[in-house]
This record gives sequence, structure tokens and C-alpha cells, in this order.
Amino acid sequence: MSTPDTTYDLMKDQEFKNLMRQANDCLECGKCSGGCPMMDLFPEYFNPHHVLEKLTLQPAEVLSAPDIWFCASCYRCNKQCPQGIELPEMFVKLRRMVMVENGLDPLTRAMEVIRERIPFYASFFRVCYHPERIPLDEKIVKKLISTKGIPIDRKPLLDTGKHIAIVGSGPAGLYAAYLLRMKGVMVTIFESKDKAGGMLRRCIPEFRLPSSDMDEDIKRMKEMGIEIKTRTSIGKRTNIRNLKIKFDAVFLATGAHHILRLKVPGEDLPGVYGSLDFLEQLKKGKVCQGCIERAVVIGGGNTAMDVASTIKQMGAEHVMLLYRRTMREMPADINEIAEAEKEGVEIHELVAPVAFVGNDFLESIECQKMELGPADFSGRRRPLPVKDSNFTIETDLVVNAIGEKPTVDYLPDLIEINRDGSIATNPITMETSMEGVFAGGDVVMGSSTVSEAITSAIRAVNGIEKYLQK
Amino acid sequence: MIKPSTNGELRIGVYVCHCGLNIAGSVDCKAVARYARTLDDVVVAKDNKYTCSDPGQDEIKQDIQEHGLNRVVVASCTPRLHEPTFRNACAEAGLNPYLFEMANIRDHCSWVHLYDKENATLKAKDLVKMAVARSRLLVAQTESEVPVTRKALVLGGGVAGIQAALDLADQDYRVYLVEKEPSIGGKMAQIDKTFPTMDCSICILAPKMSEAGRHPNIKLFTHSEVQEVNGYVGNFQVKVLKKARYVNEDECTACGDCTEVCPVTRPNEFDIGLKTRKAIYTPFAQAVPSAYIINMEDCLGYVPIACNKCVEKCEKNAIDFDMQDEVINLDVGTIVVATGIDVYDPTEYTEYGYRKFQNVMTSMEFERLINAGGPSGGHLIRPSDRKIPEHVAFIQCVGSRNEKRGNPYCSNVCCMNTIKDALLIKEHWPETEIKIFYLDIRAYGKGFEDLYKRSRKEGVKYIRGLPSEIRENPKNQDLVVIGENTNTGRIENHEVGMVILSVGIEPTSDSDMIQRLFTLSKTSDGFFMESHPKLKPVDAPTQGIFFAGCAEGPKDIKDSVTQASAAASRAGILMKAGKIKVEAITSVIDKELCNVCGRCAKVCPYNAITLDIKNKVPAETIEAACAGCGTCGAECPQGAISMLHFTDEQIYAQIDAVTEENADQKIVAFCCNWCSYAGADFAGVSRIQYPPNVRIIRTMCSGRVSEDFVLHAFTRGAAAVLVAGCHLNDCHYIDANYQTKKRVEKLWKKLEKIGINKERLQLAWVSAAEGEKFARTIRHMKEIIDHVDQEEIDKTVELLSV
Repeated sequence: MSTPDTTYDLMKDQEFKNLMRQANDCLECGKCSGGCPMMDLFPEYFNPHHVLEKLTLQPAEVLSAPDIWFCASCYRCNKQCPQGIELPEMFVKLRRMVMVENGLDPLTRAMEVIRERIPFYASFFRVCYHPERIPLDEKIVKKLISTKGIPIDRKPLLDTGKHIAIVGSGPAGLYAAYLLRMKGVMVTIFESKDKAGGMLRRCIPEFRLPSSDMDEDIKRMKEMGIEIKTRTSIGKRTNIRNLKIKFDAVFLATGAHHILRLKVPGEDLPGVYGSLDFLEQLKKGKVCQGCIERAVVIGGGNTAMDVASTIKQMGAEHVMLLYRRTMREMPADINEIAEAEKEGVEIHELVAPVAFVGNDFLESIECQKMELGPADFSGRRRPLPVKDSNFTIETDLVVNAIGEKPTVDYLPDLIEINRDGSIATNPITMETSMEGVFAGGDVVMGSSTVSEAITSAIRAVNGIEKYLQK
Repeated sequence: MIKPSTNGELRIGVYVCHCGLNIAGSVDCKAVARYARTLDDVVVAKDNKYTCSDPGQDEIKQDIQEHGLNRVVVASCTPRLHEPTFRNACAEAGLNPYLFEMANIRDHCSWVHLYDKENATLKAKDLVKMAVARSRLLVAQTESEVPVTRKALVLGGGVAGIQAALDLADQDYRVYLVEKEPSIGGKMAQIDKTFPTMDCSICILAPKMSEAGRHPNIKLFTHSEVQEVNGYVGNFQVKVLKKARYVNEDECTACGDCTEVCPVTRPNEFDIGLKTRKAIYTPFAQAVPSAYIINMEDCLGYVPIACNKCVEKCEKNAIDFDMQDEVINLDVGTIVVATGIDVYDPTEYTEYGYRKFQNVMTSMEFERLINAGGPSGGHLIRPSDRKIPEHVAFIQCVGSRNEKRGNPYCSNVCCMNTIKDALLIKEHWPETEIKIFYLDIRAYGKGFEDLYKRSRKEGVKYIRGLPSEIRENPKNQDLVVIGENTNTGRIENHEVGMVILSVGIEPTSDSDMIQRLFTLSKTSDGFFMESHPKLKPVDAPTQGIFFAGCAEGPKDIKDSVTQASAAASRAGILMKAGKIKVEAITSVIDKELCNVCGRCAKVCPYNAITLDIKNKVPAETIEAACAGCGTCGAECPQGAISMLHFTDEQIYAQIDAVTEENADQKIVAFCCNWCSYAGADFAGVSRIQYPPNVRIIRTMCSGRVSEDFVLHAFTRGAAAVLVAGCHLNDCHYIDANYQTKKRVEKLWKKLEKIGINKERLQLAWVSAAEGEKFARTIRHMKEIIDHVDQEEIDKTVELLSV
């Protein structure tokens, strides 16, 4: 431990002082770290409230150490913090300062750790770290994720003779595959689409995650001896029971691809998209970029914000975001909402669609005003329609982004499903109600982040390992 | 404008207090005293370290004798603290206490301008000048006495209310104990054991409950609510709504035959829904009064076809479906507010899954489960499978110490409650593994540390860190508590059979209504504000009202009982005397000047003014009914009404003193005594800094501020004027501040019409707890006056003098 340093130049910087003052609010209750997926992944390098403590005791060290580069801005810590400390915001500000003061060195050190621990680090870095927010220019990003540099020893242990089937090739499936393979287990991944990558491949815009980087990542995984069978749907010809017979254990990581329906007339009109379909079409270049003048996005989550911002960037004049509760109840992260507003997205609270109107193509939406009733079991106040408050919005495009449900329709009845549609699992081993079948990622947690998917995969792999030893 | 005193030659003494460094730290007290000597009629001006000390007071008394002082001005703290002290000192030296005046150079000056000694000193001089100007016009007064009714109302029948009622009744006062639930007992009746002695809660409470029930001096009103409160200290009129319980309390023997035949089953509120009750029921076995009650919303109806089973069964014919709600009028001299607390509902802590996972429960539910009289007969069984859990976790600070969810304060009782609960489990099932997840263990009271250590010896595990998530195993409903152990820095998973959320306590949901009924104030955490946090901790700012128990702040049973006895004693002191002196601040109407327009009678909140418009009988004040708000004085178009001790002339003299120099830099603020003046004091106590441009003139109520005061300030060249009062509906004079609102709105229109920027007149509602709001208002007004130049002021003066 070095001695407290208070002579650092930045101490004179007002913004840095403000950050130190915010750090003083921390009561060190540990609610931030307990829910932090990055702390799960990099426990020896990162603990959110330790950064705050350092900021008050050894401020200079915060700027030279790699710690702050591990936060993936998922905002779970902020949502739980009893003091309301905005840790992710603080980390972004600190990163900017580090870039000025200490250049790329701390980030490069963090990146070395990430590369060592995550085999698909290129996609991981681009998606989790939002390099554009720091901002890092493309050249630096390329350098950071390039395969050159210190070679990483990824030799699997001696073959154990076990073979595991993994359904789904998103972050959870890929990470579980990697961990199991390193333990000397043979792995086969089944993917229904024509390319591996799951939600990353399907919905992250090309400008944020170039397909070539994703391809590199997948290639690296295959080189480790992981077999990936694309265009193979489970449930049609092969079902889970068959897999169970052929393999020693099964891991389900099929994600949450079912778009929740609004249950409103006209939902199937051309011009009305589900969020994921819209993003997919967009990625494939099938959405006309200059043709949209007015667009409406429905929902209050991160996906809704992302979609709305994207449409606005495409040149739409008016992009309206409708949410049936108020800003206070929005599940989206504060910074996502702020970014959407900065882009010029018009956010309308307490509005819900009643019908989509149009003959052959969508022309307008009929909406209804809402008011908040008493809290429901989720602890949020329930929206209730206001009588005679209907009004119409003209629009060229509607994107339904109210949420996604886990994809579970291929499963046998033996596997229990929770009331919210996710697979019921043992919270420690991630085993489902069917012996030897495990699950992780969005199919268990509902829509969540890449890092959360990975942490659930870690849990599952520990569970599978124990199961295999039986 | 200034009239010479009737007493002939004026001889004023000024005393500038250093208050240690509280004032002297940011105000040059010697310079202020030197300045005071230059003011007309000031014979002596001194500065001393502590004017309120005995030597300080002696000096004043001595000077009154030696220099023949006939006015005394002390520049020190807020009159809300030491005015009585100095008034007494004056009286002891033979000077009428109403010839004493105070300048508040601490709470309103040195504390809020800590780092601006130059301007703080200038402001202190101004405040002294204002006080001297007012003192010249002070008139000796004699205080009248009003009788104090020797009966008390205690609101709330928890342990605090019961104790207060018993103590008052034992002092031989008649007590009315009003409780909204069907039985007295409150939260303590629901708790199993008490800490740190591990006494059985109901065993020690029940005797007190029955004593209250049969005490000849106590009249119980259960299932009742206060509807209206009128009057003032010593003479309150209270309307109590006694809701029909449909069972005659005197006839019912609590045999329980009715319950057996009642076909309706509902969750029992007393057991927090863990057990059921019938539509006709008694909340719990030890209930007082020991009589059943029918919940009419649940009852099938008394038509014989519908049900009528209980009526047929009751041998005593105690059931009476025709019973009506009753309104009871009570005259009382004092009131004890003991309305208690609610328990925090942790549903919004979604990460803990309360209501989602059956085996996650609150500490209050736990109390019922572990209680031998509770739904499980004292067996700690999990709701999911009725098995006794082998591993139990407690999570502390749920809904407490949280800025975003629940409440920001520490609830005081949860740490010890958990320690007690853990020991209870260990006592019955010693093998149970218990883990307590905590942020800080606060075992601060007598015997608390011993209990804490005992729990550690018994093997209770303490894990520092609040868990981030609870997950349920769908197979067996076991729970996994996930969180960081902040002592090791590692994330840990703890498998347990049951989780108890140690929930905080918060002001009752009807506390807003109570606040309004009794014109109380609340601190920022929502609990009722005491008159002084250290020296008058059980007195409400409204005279004659006292607090007992958690209504004033979270506390345990011992502290509640202590405070209840204190409140009973304070109320007893008032009633023992049988009479109380009333400040001589009532209104006096000059019959010669009155033109019988009736406007004063119309605005008087107390109906204290009589007149006969038809027969041209001029207005007259009923002194005993007048509370001295001054709204009539502000309303009278003839200037026929003067308010004793707050005369127009005195207020004009203060305005003139403020505006004599650099008026263009100054904000003249009229603040009501109860809320806004106290709010400004609170800003001082909290050391909230704001610009030094404001000069506060105290009136009893904002309703006292007449149009002419405001216009006079503008005519004298003031840059801005602030009128500040209690929040609407919180007025200490019923609704007098509605007149303030009306008057200011009228003034805004007037100013706009004649071409004066109406922004320069501000109206603010600032409660006694809103120091920050007061400071914010002044900061905002500073921005406004920065845009007001001399030219604009000259124009204003010209426009107004036309």
C-alpha cells in the first residue's frame, strides 16, 4: 500500500474534487459489488466501492490503476445504491481524466486481463464498454482488440471424455463452452441461425460491432476445439431428450427472442415492427434509411432508447417514444435516456397505444392517456387508462420495444417454467427441473446484459462440473 | 412616521452578545456595539461574551437601575429561544417585559454568513438599528390570564399514549384517550419480546392496557378519530368521531359465541394476514375494551335472510346493527399526540423478492410467527412448507438509511430488534444457523451491547454488507442470499431456509392529517417537530400540545414511555396552575375610527370580532378568543385596528430603519413567527449560507402583512419584498394565510398595472423545517435584485408616490 497522496495535480481540478466528494457518500454497504457482473468476472481486479474508497484515500492511484476500466455501465450498482451514487457516470468521467493524465496504459492493462479471461474479447469490449462514450477512436479500439501482443495460453486440460451439448451461441452459450472446453470437456453448440453469436450477431448495429470482429472471435473459439453446428434447431428433429441421451449434460442458452405483443388491433400491419426484427432488418440493410419522417417507438427500456436514437440518427424528423408509466418508473438506464433525449427523441410519458390504423400500410396510431394507480407486485405503480383521452399520432413507422420474453417453446414439459416465462433453475447450480439439463443467460434472467449472461454461465459451468463428477 | 413614546424621554440600552464565537466568529461585535452608541436615544451599548449568562443578565438589570433604562435591546440569538429569559430579567429589574426587544444576529446573520465578516457585520448593525427603532415605540402591556381546562386529550393508544394517559389520570386529571383501532395496545401488542431484557411484550403491556381501561379518570374512545380541533392552549375544543362498532361495549362479555357462527373469513390485520378472523371479531385476546366489533364491509348483512347468525347466537343481545357513528365534543386544556408509526413495506426492494418468495418475510411478520399467541403458536415455520428452517438470514436497513427507497434516516430500533429475534430463535431451536447481514450494528442503549455480545456468544454470525439479491430455488423454496462480505471483499452465496427483512419504521400514513388538525410542523424526515430539539423535546411549537412516542421520531419502548411520562408531566404543569398568561398581542379596535364595514370580522379565523352592520355598532374584539394573528389589522381600511406589540407604527419604524441606507441592495422580508421565521432560524442552525441582503421583520402571522407595509417598503426604495408564511393549510391561525395569498395576489396585479416589475414582490411558503427552502428563496431573490438598478427604483418611488 502506498501512502495517501494528496499532492496530485488533478486535486486542483474541480471535476475531480466533485468526484472525490461523491465518493465520500459511500457507506460501504456492498450492494454495488454484490450485484456487479464485472466483479463476478474480475474479482481480483475490480470492486466498485473499493474504487470509491481509493478515491478518498489514494486518489492518484485510481488514475493509474486499471480498476475503473472494468465497469460495463450496466447501472445495477446505481439502482441499488442506498446513497444513489452514480458510479458508472463517475467511472466514465474518471476514464476521460485518465486518458488525459496517464494515456492508454491503465486501459491496456485492463484489456490484457479481459483478453485472458474472455475468448470473444473483441465483441465483449465493443458491446460492454461503449468506446464511443469515453471516447476512444476506432484506431485505438482496433489496437486494443488486435490479436497481436502477449500470446495467451489457451490449452484445454487433458480430455475428460465428457461431452456437453449447448443450445444457443450467444454470450452465455459461448462462455460456458469456453470454460467447459478449458476443463477438458468436449463441447458442441447448436445454433438455429446461420451464424453463431446470438443476440450480438442479430441486433447490435454494425457500427457498434462489426461482423468481422465477431467472426474473429468465433474463429478463435473454434480453434480451441469447440464445435458449432449452425442452422440446427433443437426441438424440430432433435429434442432435449435426445440430446440428454447423446450427451453427458445439456446447457440451454437460447436467449429471449420472443417479442412481447402489445395485444392491440393492427399490430400486424406492415410498418409495425418488433424491436429485435427491426434491429435485425436494419443490420441487414433492409430498412430504407432516408424514407422515415415520423416514427414512434413504444417502451421504456434500453432497447427502446437504442432503437429511438438509431432512427433519429437515420434522419427521421420526429421520433416519439411512448411510455405508459412515467420517467421515474422507466427501466432504461439514466444515461441511455439522456442520450436519447440529446439525440432529439421526444419522450411522452403516460401514453399507451390502443390501435394501429392504416389500410395496407401503417398510417397512424390511436393512443390513450394513462394515470398511475397503486403499486403492483413489482413495486411499480400500475398505469390505468384515463377515460375519453384518446388521440391520434400520424406516423410512418412503429417499433414495439416493450420487451422480450425467453424463448422456451421448444422445451419438454419436464422443464419447469416460471410465471414470467423464464426457465426455473436452481439459483446456485443453474440446473433445471430436468436432471442434467442446465440453463443460463436471458432464457433464465430475461433480457439482460452480456456481462450478466456470462456470470450466469460461470454459475452453470460450476453446476455442470459437480454434476459430471457424480 | 415615528411617534414619540408616551413615556417621555427614551433611554435605550443595547447589548451585543458574542455567543462565544457563534456570533463573534463572523460579526465584529465590538463594532456593532460602537455603532449602537451612535443611534438616537441609546444610552448604553455593550458587548459581552454570553448575554444570556447570569453575569450578562445581571449587567442588564444593573444598567436598568443605574442608567434608568426604559428600553432594552439584546442582539443575540433568535427570540424564539431567549426572549423569555431576557423578558424575565427586565421584569426582575422592574421594567415591563414588553419594553424589551431582540435583534437576531446569530440565526439570521452570523450563522448564515459565516465567511463574509464584512457584510455580516453590516447586516448585524442594520438588525440592531431595526430593533432600536422598534423599541422606541414599544408600549408596556399587562398580560391577561385565561383559565386552563383540567382535562387532557391523548391521541393514540399505543404504549406511549397509554402511559401518558395513566400518568395524567393519576395526577387526577380527566383524560380522553382516542385510538383509531378497535383496541388500544398499538405496535407493542404485536411484538413478541422486548429488548434488551427479553420481557414478554404483551405480558408487560396488558396490565397497563386494562388499567387504562378501568381507570376512573380515563375515558376510552377506540375505533375513533379526531375530526376537528379548535381553540388554543388551555381551551381546546375537539370533535371526535366515534365510529359504530355494532357491538355494545358494555354488554359484550367477549364470550366468542358470535365468532363461531360467523360465516365470513378474512385475513387478520393484527397478525398481518398470517391468520384469519371473522367479520365479527376481537383483534387479539388481550384487547381493551374487551368487546367484539363487526367490520361492516365484511358482514353479509343483518337481514335475517342474508345471515343474522351472530344476533341469534348472542345471549346478551349486545349486537346492534342500528348503531350509528357518534360525534363527541370534548373540551380539553392540553393535548398529547402519540400517534406512533407505520412499518415500512419492502415491496419496492424488488431484489429481495418480498411478496414474490414465500419465505421472505418482514420483521413484524416474524414477531407474529414467533409469538405463542400468533398464527403458528410460536413455531417458526416457513410459509412454503410449514417446516422449521435450519438456516435463517436477517437483512438490516431495509427501508432505512436509504436516500432512494424507504427513508433516509436510521430507524433506531431494527438492530436491537434483530439481535433479540436471533436470540429468540436460538432459545427455541439452538441448532439453527443465523446470519445477520448488516451495515452498522447500532447497540447504543443501556444493556444493548451486552445483548449484542450474548448473541455473538450464542453463535449468531454477523456478516458486514447488505446483500444485493435473493434468489429462490424453485424445487424447495430455499433461498440464496447473494452479496459481498465487505470485510473480505468477496461475493458470497448463502443458502438459507428463511430470510427476515428487518424493515424500518416511518410516520403514519395519516400523519399529514394530524399535522393539519393540530397545526403542527414536520421535520424533513416526516416526523413531528418539537419546539426545541434539546430543551423542549416533548413540546409542540403550538402551546398546550405535547408529543409522546414515535410520532416525534423513531424510538424504542423505553424511550417512548419516558417521553410519555415527560409529556404527561409537562401537560400536568399547565393544568395544575389552572390558568395561563396570554401574550398581550391581541387586537384593539378604535371605535371612533371604525366605519362598521365588517371586513375585519369576515377575515378573523376565530370569529373573535363582533359588530352589527345594520345598527352601526362598531367592531369589538373578544380578547379571550383573539389569538393575535393580526389579519384584521392588515385588512382594516380605516386604520382603526392596532395589534398590541405589533403595531403598524412599530413595523413602519422597522421598514424605515432597513431602508435608510443602501435600500437598493436590500430585501425586506416579512416572516411569520411560527413557520417562516423559524425556517430562517433553522437555516441558521443548519449553517445554510445565503446572500446577506435580506432583513427580516417578524410578525405573528403572514396575515398581519398589510398592502401598505409592502408598498411602503417599495416607496422607501427597497429592491425587493418577501412575504413568507406557513404552507397553506398549515397556518397556526387556522386559515389566516389564505388572506396573505389573496392580498399578495392583489398586490401583484396592482404592481403590474402601475408598471412595477411584480417579480420584486415574492411570496413564499416556508415551514419551520425548511431552512434550505428559505435560503433558496433568498438566493433566487438575490438574482432578481441584481437586475434592479437605481433607475428602476427611482421610477418605482415616483410611480408609488403619485
